[in-house]
Order: sequence, then C-alpha cells, then structure tokens
Amino acid sequence: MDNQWSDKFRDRFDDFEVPVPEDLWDGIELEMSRRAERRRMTVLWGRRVAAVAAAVAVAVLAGVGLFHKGPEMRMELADVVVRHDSVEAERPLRRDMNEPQIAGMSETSVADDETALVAVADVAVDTDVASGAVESDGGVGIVERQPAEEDAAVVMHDSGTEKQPVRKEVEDPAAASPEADVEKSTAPGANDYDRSFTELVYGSKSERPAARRSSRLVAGLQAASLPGSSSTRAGYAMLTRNAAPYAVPMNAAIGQDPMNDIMIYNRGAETTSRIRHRQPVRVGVSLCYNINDRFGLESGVTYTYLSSSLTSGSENNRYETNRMLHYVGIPLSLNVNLWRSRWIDVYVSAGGLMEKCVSGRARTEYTVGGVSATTKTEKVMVDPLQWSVNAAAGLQLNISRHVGLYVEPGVAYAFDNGSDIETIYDKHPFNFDLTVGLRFSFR
Amino acid sequence: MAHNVDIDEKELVGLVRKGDTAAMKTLYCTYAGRLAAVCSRYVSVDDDVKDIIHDVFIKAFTSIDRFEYRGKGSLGAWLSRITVNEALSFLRRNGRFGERIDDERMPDMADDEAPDIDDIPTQVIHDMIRRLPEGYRTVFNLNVIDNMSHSDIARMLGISESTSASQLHRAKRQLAAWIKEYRQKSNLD
Repeated sequence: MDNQWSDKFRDRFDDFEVPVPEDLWDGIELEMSRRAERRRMTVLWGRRVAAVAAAVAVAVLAGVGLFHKGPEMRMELADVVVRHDSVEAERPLRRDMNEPQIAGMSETSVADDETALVAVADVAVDTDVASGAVESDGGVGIVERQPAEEDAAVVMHDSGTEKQPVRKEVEDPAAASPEADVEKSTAPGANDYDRSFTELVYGSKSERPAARRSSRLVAGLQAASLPGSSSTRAGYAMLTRNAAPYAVPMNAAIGQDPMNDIMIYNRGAETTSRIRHRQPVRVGVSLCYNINDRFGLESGVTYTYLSSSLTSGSENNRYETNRMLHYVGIPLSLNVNLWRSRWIDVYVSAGGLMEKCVSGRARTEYTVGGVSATTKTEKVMVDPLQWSVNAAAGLQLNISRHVGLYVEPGVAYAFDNGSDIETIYDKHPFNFDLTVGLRFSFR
Repeated sequence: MAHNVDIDEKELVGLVRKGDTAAMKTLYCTYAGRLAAVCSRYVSVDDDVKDIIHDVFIKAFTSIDRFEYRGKGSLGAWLSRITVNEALSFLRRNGRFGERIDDERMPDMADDEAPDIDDIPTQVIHDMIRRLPEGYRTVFNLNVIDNMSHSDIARMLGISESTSASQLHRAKRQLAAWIKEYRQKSNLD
C-alpha cells in the first residue's frame, strides 16, 4: 500500500459531507441561549453586592463630608411656651417652636445660592462656597436661572392659600417697636432687591439607570445635590410656615427664657432674619429592569440630606437655628432609550420620588447681650411624605462593557406636603437639576 | 441547508464573537455536514455522531475568542480539529483502541495490490471505514486522512508507535479486501 493510495483516500474526503438531523441546530441554539442566560444571572448576582457596597461607600463618604460640624450639644429641651395672639388663633398650633413676632412683609430678598458639590466617585461636599463662585469636582457647569417662584414672606404666610402680610395683628405692645423698626428698615432694603442670580444646577434626581445593551438589570450609583436658597428679611423668622407671632409675656423677667430676653433687648433695635436652605445632597442606589431594548423600569433607594439654617434678631441678641433633616426615599421611573451606540447612550426618563423624613434635629443657639447663652436641641419630625415628580434626559458614555458614566439634566417638581416644616422643597418646588453618576450593567 | 461559499468568513467569525445568533446559524449550516462526515468516520453510531457534533459547535461558539482567522480554510481546519478531538474523547470514554480483528480472518493479500478506488462512490468508502474495528479505524483516520504522524498518534491514543503502525497496516489491508470485494460485486473489474 503506497502513499498514493493513501493520498487518494485523503482527497476523497476533503469536501465530503453527510446529512445531519434536522433538530441538531435547534439543540445547539437552545443550549447557547441557556448558557447566555446563566452567565447573565451569575454576573448579576455577584456584582449586585459590589454595587450596593459601592453605593454604601459613597453614601458614607457623603455623610462624612456633610457632618463636619462637629458634635452637637445636647441639652434637654426646656418647655417652650407657645403663645399666639388672639387674632392668630386660627393659625395652626405648631410644635414646640417659639413663635416670634413676625413683621414686615416687604423683605429684601436676596438669593445667593450656595453650591454644594458632590462628585460620584470621590465625594467632596463643600457647603460654603460663596454665591456665584462655582468650584466643581464633578465638572458640572453653571446655569443662569430664574427662580420659578419666590416666596417672599415664607415664614409668615399660609403656604398655599393666601399671601397676606401679617401686620398690625399683633396687639402686644412689645411688638410695636420691632414692627416700626422694620418699616423703617424695609425702605432701604427694597432697593437691594436682586432677583437674578447664578446657581449651580445640580441633580435632585435619584437613580436613573437606563437600558444598556441586552442586559436586563442595571444598577446605578449616583450622588446629586439640588439648588439651595437663602433669603434675608427684616424682622424675626422661623423655619416653619404658618408661624404665628411670638409675644413676649407682659411680665417676663430677664434671664428666664432666652427668647424673651432676645425680644426684650431688641426692642427698638433693627432686626433681620436670614434663612438658608442649603443644597440638599442625595445619594442612592438603583436597579433598572429592562423590559425590552427600549424601555426600562427603575427603582431603588435614596438618601437625602437637607440642611437649613436661620439667624434671626440683631447683632447682639439673636438666635441661630441649624436644622438637619434626613430623608429616605424610593424612586420609580420609566426610562426610554432613544439611541444607542458603542460609546453613547441617549435616553429620557420620567418618574416620581416618594421621600420620608426619617430623622431630624434642630439646634438653636441663643445669644443674649452678645454672649451665647443657651443652646437647645430638639428633634424635628416631618410627618407627611414628600412626593415629587421628575423628568430628565440623559447621556451616557460607555466606558466599558459594564460601566457607564452619565449626566442627566432634568426638572423636578416637589409637591407641597402640607407640613409646617419649611424645607427647600417648599422654597423651590420646581427645580432644574443635574445628576451625574456611574451605572453598572450586567450581561 | 445551503452553504454559502462566498460568505466572508472573517466577518462571520467576528459576528459569532459578538454573540450574533444568525451568524452562528450560518456557520453551522456551512460546516455541519462536513464536520459530521469527519466525526462519523471515527464514530460508527449515528446518534453518537449527532451528540458529538452538538458538542463541537457549542465548543466552537464558546471558544471562538481563541480562534485567529488566518486566511481561507483556517476556520474549516480549526473546526475539523475540534471535531477530531471530540470524537477521540468520545472513543476514549467508550471505546477500546486495542481491539483487533483476528488476523486469520484477514484475507491474504500481496502488499502491492492496491485496488483502484476512483470509480467507487465516496459514500461507499466512507461506510467501509466505519465498519473497521475501532482501533484500526482510528489510526487509519488519523494517519491517512487527517495526516497525523505515528508518533503523534501514539502519544494521543496512549499506544506505542509500533502498535500504531501495525494498526494502520491492518486497516489498509482490510479496506483493500473490502474494496476488492465491492469491485467484483459491482462488476467494476
């Protein structure tokens, strides 16, 4: 048997084919799809833990950055006497807050918004950037913005119904002089009225992962902060709405109640109030379920930190309140993917957010006669839920198969939750915002 | 299923890499017949061939990342390689390479008698090969058709080179005998 013979064999079988059963391909196709599914699920579960851990890390960093004020002094809350004028009797009785006498409607309202900047990866919160100056770790730009609504005398009005100055309803003679003083001081104040301002627009959004290729579940991390606000007005103020005027009792002795002392000492002096609602900071983690290539339904958990401060009174006799509220929220939104390529995803989304204040604390420091006399701390609870709706457009840069960096400019509207506790949501219910984040997707 | 010779194989491989199911099907349609032919030379039971080819394609699709397209025929060669390996794994698990036909039953034949196979249909030769005992068949296939050296065969099957050579010799002799028989029956001689 020579090689030629062998070679002949070889040549014969070069292109030789035999028939294959019909269902052979079906079996192959089935197994391939099963393998793809299995791979997706394994990676998904493994990475979800990582995503949650990373989100927690970001939240912790954000928290550490925010709580840099140091330990608070805790003192037993003394019984604060709530007095209100007979005329004000219809106004709802608020909890445990002093009701100062409020006067002067035509405030000078200067909004100088602060910027609190939060980057996603390295969380650096700067709550004291001067107005107009923007330093950003996240590289987000500044947007000129007119406020949707400037609620002038926020402290003194019924929130939604009527905006009427509370004037001359105070019968307490002690009130007379501050009011008169206010009227004197409002005149020059009105000239300083400045309505235009620059603010850094940041996201008030929660999570918004959008559909990513063919992955069914997508997780996202993001941090965002919303525009803050601050306003200054004459007279006294409170961080609540529907504040009824506080009336110093006729026979009040000095030294019993710091609030009384402040009021008494300020008689005849000019008083101003300055309320600042700092930019809320929100972090969250989310998961998006991709219904199909175009639509995704997304939910998750957010944590939002709201900080407000109030200074009211005069230079030597004043009270300063710092209030911190912690909200936990659950968002729900629908994401619609408009266009997708290897590098870029473009999408829009719309949805809502339900938040609940889970904890809050207000610390008030009373300065009497130039000396910081007393500090009171009390718990603050916002009972009602805070609802908001939002819509956004998003652009995502796909850094890798699994990770994308996105920016989402959007609008949000926060509904009045009927609570007396005044927050940034009441001040600026309608917001433009910008969220940046990292989105992880799993195949 | 038509096989499209004109398809750009490099492109096809690229698509399969991305998980394109249609590309996978095209690949399957192009090569299934050929690979089944290769496999059935080694494995005589058709149901086993079907299972092995299933595994071959799964393996090909899942390890396509490791394949480097090197020009015409490289894909076919790679797939054949996988097929032969899968067939051998099957045989190793289920077969006996050492089996041999009783030499006495082998017809005596002069060594230089190599019957002509040109006018015999390939299917017939294919079936003859399948009829060989497993040991002969495997060595014959690996050496004659798939071009493997005896030393490589020996290493792969865990036999000695001399066993490999003698298995081959016996295989050839058996085939020659059958071919002769066929030729006589078909009045080709």
